[in-house]
Amino acid sequence: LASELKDDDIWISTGDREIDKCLGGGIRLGSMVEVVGESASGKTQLCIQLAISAQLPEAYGGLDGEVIYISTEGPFPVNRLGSMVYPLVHRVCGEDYANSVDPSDFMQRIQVAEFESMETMFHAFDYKVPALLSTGNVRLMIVDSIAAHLRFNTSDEDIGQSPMTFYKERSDSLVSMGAKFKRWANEYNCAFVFINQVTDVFTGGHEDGTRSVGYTSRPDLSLPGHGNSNDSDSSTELLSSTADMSTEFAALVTRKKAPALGAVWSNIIDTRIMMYQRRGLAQSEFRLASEAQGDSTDQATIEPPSHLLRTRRWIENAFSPWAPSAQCEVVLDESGFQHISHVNV
Amino acid sequence: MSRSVLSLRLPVYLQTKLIQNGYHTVADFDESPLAEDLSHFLTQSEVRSLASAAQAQPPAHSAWFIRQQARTRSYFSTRLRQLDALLGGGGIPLGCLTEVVGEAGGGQTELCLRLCLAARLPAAQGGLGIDSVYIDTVGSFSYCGAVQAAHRLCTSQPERLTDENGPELSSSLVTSLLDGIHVFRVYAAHELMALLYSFDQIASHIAQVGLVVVNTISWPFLASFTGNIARRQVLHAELAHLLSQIASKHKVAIVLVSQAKSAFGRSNTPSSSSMDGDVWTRVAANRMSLQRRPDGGFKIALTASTMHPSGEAFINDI
Repeated sequence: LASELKDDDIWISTGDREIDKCLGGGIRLGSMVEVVGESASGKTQLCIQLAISAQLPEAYGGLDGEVIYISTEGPFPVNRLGSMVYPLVHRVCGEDYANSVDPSDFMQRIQVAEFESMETMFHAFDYKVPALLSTGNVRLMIVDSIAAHLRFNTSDEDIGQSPMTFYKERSDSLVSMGAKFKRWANEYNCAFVFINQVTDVFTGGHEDGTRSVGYTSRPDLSLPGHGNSNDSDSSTELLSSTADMSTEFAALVTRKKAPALGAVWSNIIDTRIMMYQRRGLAQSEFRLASEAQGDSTDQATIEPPSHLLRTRRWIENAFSPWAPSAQCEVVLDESGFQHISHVNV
Repeated sequence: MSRSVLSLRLPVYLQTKLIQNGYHTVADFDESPLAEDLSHFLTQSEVRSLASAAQAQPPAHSAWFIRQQARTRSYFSTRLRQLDALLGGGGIPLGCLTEVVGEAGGGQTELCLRLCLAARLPAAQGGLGIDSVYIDTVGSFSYCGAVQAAHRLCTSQPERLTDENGPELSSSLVTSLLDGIHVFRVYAAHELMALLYSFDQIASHIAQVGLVVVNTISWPFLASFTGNIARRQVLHAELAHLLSQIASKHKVAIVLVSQAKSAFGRSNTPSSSSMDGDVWTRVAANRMSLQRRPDGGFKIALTASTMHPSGEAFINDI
């Protein structure tokens, strides 16, 4: 019965309440979540934040669980992890608790495995990972990134392969991996987070403005779920905090990027989290700055001077079966990501 | 000339068992001395279904009879004005299959939840007060998602469906709506098939079931037979036939969500064709496609139907 499944809704907090709200509660146990964005958009940082957060006690939004971190792109950023523990725990749990815990405890409960090739990674998925999961303590598994070894044909003997064969084999690998993960997520009561890269898209948009989610260029995109609908979802309240977001976002996504690995992968995940960044200025900040300079011209038509620009970041819930689409502007500091809201003057 | 075992209306696995054990025609097992041998490899219920299948003649109905059936068919409103209009004003028909083709994140789960809830509403509000079976093959169902769907359903109506005047839905109303949804989680194709083959038992346990939703029908076959399209298609065909039988025998509406085909190399074209081809469409009374729009609404199109002309509509929220 549906109402009996109420207790199945267990979430790992990201450590920030507004980001959690944007995602519907955080990262849901039993789900397959994708974090996608361009290079340096903060995907690994977010995952490190989740890896710490998952270990916190339930009172603080964690699940007191262990974490598996699969790393395929370069060395695991252990220093960043080490430096994030205290500030994040301090922010989420307060000073007393933060002082009472030892950062190395957090580092010990994260099992890191680094794989330089696809074969070793798949072998681990068949043997090592289920063994780790079967201890029953793992609540979160992060794969950073799922795209690294699957995007291009790196093994020598396959160089002569046609693209069709490559894509077909890749689809098959993704599907069988996905099926395995879905079972494990349910059986071992844990969440899976996959980091994916973006790829360039060169073709045009549709005539009627529809899109395949995450899979096309979007030249005329305005914010999903923004503005004109009359519903009173909490997500629109989140968005309407600044009316300026729609134009900034539209400009952001005209750069024609789409998540890698194609539609096969998009159908395997439950939730897609996109991370964007852009140099710009919130309207309210610009207004303040230009008022300070005694300049009363219309901000909407004037480009802010470059010395005032800073890098702004967003986390977006692109799709999810358990929460409506929503975006949250965030800042990144030594404690990880937290939301930011601009007060309209 | 006795009837071949293959011509009987039996599940394929049962036919295979019979043939493997040397029974090729009905005459082979009709004779009583041999009947005891059957129990060596068949269960009691299988022997019974064998007996009834052997005696049954394929039915033929007059067109008039079929029209009478169509006239007495029940419908339940989806409570989405444009979608009901697309479907000819009545909503989703019982006793028929409806296919919904959707892409990743296209809103299929929301639509499935909406249908389960809308079917549960009392007749005064366009529903039929029936229970639904939600077969989840991908892990899409969640209590919080269902609660949100219930809120969207109740607050988007011109007449308030809440029992208080405030916007807050009473939790007992939500529970009574959600109690009508029976969730089954299956992972592999054989689990799905086994579940559906035992639908008779399900229907006897869940008295008021009127709607079966499979979200999605494509995934378990893809996962269990990765790379083996031929095998998948054979099972698809068998399942399509089984689903038709279940729909008409139990007078339930069956809604199948299938995965949209992604055109290789052209990533911009929204696809309203299913990766399973037309196997579900052939047995479905209605086929729809569902896409999420960049500005937040949805586009839902009726692409093929035995009952209504094609059309499309734009919906704000499901």
